[in-house]
Amino acid sequence: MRIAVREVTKRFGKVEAVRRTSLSIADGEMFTLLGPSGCGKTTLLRLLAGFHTPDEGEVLFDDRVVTSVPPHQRGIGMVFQNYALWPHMTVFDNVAYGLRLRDVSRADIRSRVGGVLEKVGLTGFDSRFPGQLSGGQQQRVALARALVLNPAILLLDEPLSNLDAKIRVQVRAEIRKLQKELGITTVYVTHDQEEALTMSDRVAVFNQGTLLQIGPPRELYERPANRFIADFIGTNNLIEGRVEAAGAPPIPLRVATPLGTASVQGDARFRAGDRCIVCVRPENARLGDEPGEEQNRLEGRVAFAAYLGNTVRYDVDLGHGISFKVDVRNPRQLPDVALGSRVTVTFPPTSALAVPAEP
Amino acid sequence: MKRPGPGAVVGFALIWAFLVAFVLYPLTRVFYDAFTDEAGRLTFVNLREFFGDAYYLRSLARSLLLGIAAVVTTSVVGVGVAFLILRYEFPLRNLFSYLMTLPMILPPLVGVLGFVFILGRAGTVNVLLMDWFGVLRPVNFMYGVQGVLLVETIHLFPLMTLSVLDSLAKVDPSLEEAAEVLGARGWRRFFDITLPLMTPGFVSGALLVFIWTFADFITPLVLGVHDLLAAQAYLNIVQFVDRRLFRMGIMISALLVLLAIVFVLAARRYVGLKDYGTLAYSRVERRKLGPRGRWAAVAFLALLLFVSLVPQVGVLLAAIGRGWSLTPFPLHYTLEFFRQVSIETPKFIVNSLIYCGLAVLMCIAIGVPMAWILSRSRAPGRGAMDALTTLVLAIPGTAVGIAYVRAFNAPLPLLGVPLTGTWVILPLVLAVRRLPYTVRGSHSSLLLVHPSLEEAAANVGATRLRTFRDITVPLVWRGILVGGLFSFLTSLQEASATIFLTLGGWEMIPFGIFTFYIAGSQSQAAALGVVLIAVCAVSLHVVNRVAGTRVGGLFG
Repeated sequence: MRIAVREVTKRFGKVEAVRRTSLSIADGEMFTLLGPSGCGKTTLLRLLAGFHTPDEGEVLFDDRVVTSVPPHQRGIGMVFQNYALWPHMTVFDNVAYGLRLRDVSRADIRSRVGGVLEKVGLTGFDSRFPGQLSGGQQQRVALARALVLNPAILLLDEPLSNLDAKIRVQVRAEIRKLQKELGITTVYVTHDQEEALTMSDRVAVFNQGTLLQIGPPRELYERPANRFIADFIGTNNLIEGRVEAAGAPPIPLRVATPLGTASVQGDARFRAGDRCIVCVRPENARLGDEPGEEQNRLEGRVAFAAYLGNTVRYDVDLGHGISFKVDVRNPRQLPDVALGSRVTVTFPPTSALAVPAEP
Repeated sequence: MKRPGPGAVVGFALIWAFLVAFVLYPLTRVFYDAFTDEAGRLTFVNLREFFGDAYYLRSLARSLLLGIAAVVTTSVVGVGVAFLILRYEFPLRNLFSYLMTLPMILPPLVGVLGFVFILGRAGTVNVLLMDWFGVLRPVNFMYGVQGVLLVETIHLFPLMTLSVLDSLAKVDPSLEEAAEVLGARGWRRFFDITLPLMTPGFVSGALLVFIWTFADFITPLVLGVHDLLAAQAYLNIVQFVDRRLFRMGIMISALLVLLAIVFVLAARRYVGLKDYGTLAYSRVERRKLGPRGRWAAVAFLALLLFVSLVPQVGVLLAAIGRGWSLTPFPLHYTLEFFRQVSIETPKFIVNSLIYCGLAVLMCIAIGVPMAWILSRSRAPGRGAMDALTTLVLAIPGTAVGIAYVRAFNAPLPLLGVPLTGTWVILPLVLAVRRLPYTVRGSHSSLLLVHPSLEEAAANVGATRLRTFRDITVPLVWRGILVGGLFSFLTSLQEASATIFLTLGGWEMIPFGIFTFYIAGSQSQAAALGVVLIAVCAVSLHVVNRVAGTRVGGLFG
């Protein structure tokens, strides 16, 4: 089922939790609402679920306006952040409850619940109570309960936030696999950008009630639309500057920064004199001089080094209060760089990006 | 673990000695008396006589029925109020949530009188009905079981509200939303999801309401209802003519104790099964009510509040009215009755203040160390200590009073008089009755002080005593003080246990109200009632000031 949100605004008192937001989600798509807490992503999910009604705008499922349809008539399955398993019911009863409300026959209930529990890998747990299950198992019961009614849309509200890091990665993959298998349109809310990048077909990034950018994970990571997204998704070195000479790919922009002039990628909307932010990912920079005329070169001192196993992350103090992160991969093949030593940081113009300074 | 010092051992032994002497022994004594004859031989004569007497059996059945009826009425009202206040937004919500606790804090004895003045045969409502609507014979609102039920409902529904609120506040809204997505709405959702999750609080509220109603003899007697178990116990004990009847009174009080224990155990078992450890408090966004719902909510609560306040108005009118009869309101007003019960005979007020004050001091002296033992030590017998406190909470005052009459009427070795012959028995029985509140209150305050706070002090070099003085006391004194004041407040209102033990010269306010009323001096009873309300109001005000919140703030 397709979902369309048109010019939706939701206020709580004077606070605009969601501001004039429009987006559309394709049938079978895994769509993630990403942003820091309080950004409006959960409010938007609850607008889709029908727990809130928008103050302005409308919500459409396929071509039907559902803005004032109550939650249970929307054909959605929902998984809550705390799972919301009823502690007084067994696993079986939790999953079967929705079927019982629909007067499904006993035999059908038994087979459908059995089927969905098998799908989430909980066969044999029927008569346990939620309190007797681990976090990951509870999470799967919640998923089974949402899926047993064969909903056209699945809504997931930070479903992994209460799990241990290891289990989180595992359940993440399971959800993704199940979602592809069922081909169910899924809206996923999270504040964890790594989760959003690994699971989604497309991601919508929110901040303070405003939708900032929609795109596939790769686009968000490689071509963030503004400073917020460049900073929020992944790690970035951000250096403020002013455009000296405009350009459009493949011709690089020339940007004047406190550290000198840099050649970076940027699109055609930049004019000479515009304020901008130069973004360089730590993995795209190198310690030490690299051959090539066009390379950007910066001088600094190593202020800090963090050993992460597969990489070492160096913080290089470039002066002017600017600290620059550089990731060095495969550290076992390289000698450590001593703290305090003077180094040259280089990065190619193709892997540096200029984004607008506002907002 | 450090070995406890000799001081700690002595303190521990003293606490146990107190519990054995003033809780365990009297209760055992009741059973001993109920099942022995004059010569001390085991006998079931009393038991057989009770179950062979149609009147007693009827009283038992009616008491049980009345208890159940009170649970039903308080559930409907109490749960309704809890839901409205916790889940919905409507005009004056905060004011209502504050005022709804008042009926519980107002003395029940005064409530009965007030209802009689307004709704009795010659009360305001009947006079108006006869004058304005030509009703020929007064409508009997009050005299009978219906009156008892009305009074108990109004007095006890806030207790139910408070018990349910705690459980209801732990029902995460997403549990209900999850049901809503699946199509469970309205009553269906309430009965499938919300109600089962509220059971722990509901059961404990229902238990308190049931035991209170079951064991209350004052309300029925004022309203002329005699065929209830507790009323029979009272009437049989206070008559000093017939030994056999007296024995039956003891038998009945043994039954009251036994039934209370059975109900507590049953409820504990049931709640134990339904205790959902996963639940935690959560913030609920209150729903806005539509215009019609808003009006209905305000009207319901206003009506409830109005009915709850009727008795206070009645008592006030009766206290200041002179020669009030056959008119809706008094025609002449006077302060004479106040003078009579305060300046002329100050003993009621003086005794109340002294005995209740002493009772609270005893509560703190014994209850705070008990709380410390329960929460911090690994002393043996903590489970038994905890069970004994819970037991005291459940045993009706009527039974405690009767137990003390029996247990402490032998002359003490050194003094030559029995304990029941000295006024000390009154603060003592009050202290025992309120001990569970002090223990629980201090216990929860102590739980707030995480041991790591004390360990942190020890870590920077504070001795144990120094830690206690600088860290523990500043964090818990407020909780203990509020608990003590609350015990004081409820001790002032206590009548059931003390009535059996009061001798000439020791009369406290509730005893005065009861005996004045029974003797026909309604105005004096009412004046003392107003005094009691005033003293309670002042104590409550102090509690609120000290606690820094309103007691109504319990409603959140």
